[in-house]
Amino acid sequence: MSGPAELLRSWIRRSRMKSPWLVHFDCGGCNGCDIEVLDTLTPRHSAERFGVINVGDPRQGDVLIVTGPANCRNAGVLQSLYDQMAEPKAVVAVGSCAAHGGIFRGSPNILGGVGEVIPVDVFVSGCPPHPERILDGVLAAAPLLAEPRAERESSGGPGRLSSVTSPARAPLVIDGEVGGPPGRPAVALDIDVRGPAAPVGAGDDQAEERT
Amino acid sequence: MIDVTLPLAILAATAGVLVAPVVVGLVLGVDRRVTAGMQLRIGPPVLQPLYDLTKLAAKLSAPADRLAAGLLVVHVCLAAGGLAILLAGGDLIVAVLVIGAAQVCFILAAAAVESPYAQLGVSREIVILVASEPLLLLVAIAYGSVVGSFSAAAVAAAPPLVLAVPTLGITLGVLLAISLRKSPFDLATSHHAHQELVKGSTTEMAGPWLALAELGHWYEAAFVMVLILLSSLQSPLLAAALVLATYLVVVLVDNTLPRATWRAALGVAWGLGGVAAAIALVTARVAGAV
Repeated sequence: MSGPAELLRSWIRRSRMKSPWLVHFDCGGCNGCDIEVLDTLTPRHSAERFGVINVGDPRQGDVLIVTGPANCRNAGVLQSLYDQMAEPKAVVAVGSCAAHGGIFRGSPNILGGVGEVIPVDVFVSGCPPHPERILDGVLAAAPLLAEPRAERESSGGPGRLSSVTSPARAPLVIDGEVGGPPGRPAVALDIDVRGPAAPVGAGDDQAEERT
Repeated sequence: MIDVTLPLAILAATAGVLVAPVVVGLVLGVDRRVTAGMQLRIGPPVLQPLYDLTKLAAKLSAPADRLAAGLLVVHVCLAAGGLAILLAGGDLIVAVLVIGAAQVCFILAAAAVESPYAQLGVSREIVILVASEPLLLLVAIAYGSVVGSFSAAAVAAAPPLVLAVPTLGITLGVLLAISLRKSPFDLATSHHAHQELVKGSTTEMAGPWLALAELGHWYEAAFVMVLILLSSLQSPLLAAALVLATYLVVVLVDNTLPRATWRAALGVAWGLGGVAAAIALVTARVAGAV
């Protein structure tokens, strides 16, 4: 009896994973990552072969691509964009600034990484990351779209973050702060071809002073 | 006589309405592959439009505007109804008017929200409606003039119409481009990156409601495809070749005419499709007399 129902369920899961529509938001930063995000969407990288489409409306999007550091000025906008997106949804933080604030870290108006405001699922490192790597990040987020977040976290199904990261690709923890609030696991793409992300040594002290 | 044909007609219409979304989804999937090939890309899987529709339908979106949601449901029902009338061998004129009513419902659904982008999309949807509806009527009248009846069943039973009125093929091509929202008729909202508006009439539609809007448009596309098939149903090879050739031309035009304006849309629809239909009407008059 569960045949057709199960078939429909798996078809829906498959459809959700195969159709990640992107919403792109720039929190600030230098626009380098934004150029790379746009580059990712050009015919050269053929993102459409994975069902990726760029949409201008957060209510129609599945994956929120965020670049730049979270800051006081637009944290509310970022939160609002995230809230407007319907489940199932995923967040991909692109670039060093989105991971931990980057070179802006420690500035008075900078909150830090995007994870300070919204739950991030995938971190794509680089300053800026290559388009191929951004596409990798979107594809790493795609399996998370199989189920709504609440269902995913309670059932521990295949959409769990741990299944996205292969053992050979241990999560890259930049600055010990990736992932936002504790209890929210995150995966980072550690295929950094340009060496480690921006040096943050000086910014750390300031950040501690600020908090 | 009626006792036998009516249940058959209802059966055919029901089956057609159920199968149409899958067929149109697959056709659109091939369309996206061909388009990608023309742009030297690989393109998505052929099942992609069906993935997209399922995903949208399964999204846990917040409820849309109640009036808009209701109108979208009516939009889908009317579009499916128009197709059903055609498949059941009903009256062509009625079917065309029902499809027009479906489009009006979609326009009203888009107009029911306050977003300025949606309002801009609405004004352009109206241009598309104004461009397409007279052409649909002209095609129906041309079919009727040749066959001597507006019944779709009679048209289907007639020898290939397209041989009697060849210019009607151009009008049908224009109509196919309109129903698939190909360039220059892609001005009201955006499906693809090369289109003019970031978002138009579908701005406030999300999740299941966007799926309904898509489904309605798929039924409209199916309607035009069946209309093309009707023109030469007695020789299936010719019919298939006709649909394929028309489709390829439409895709080619779509790839070579990005960013056309609504003036171009009206010009192509009435200048090309309308004139071709007018010539077809005259030819049909002559052919009908003979």
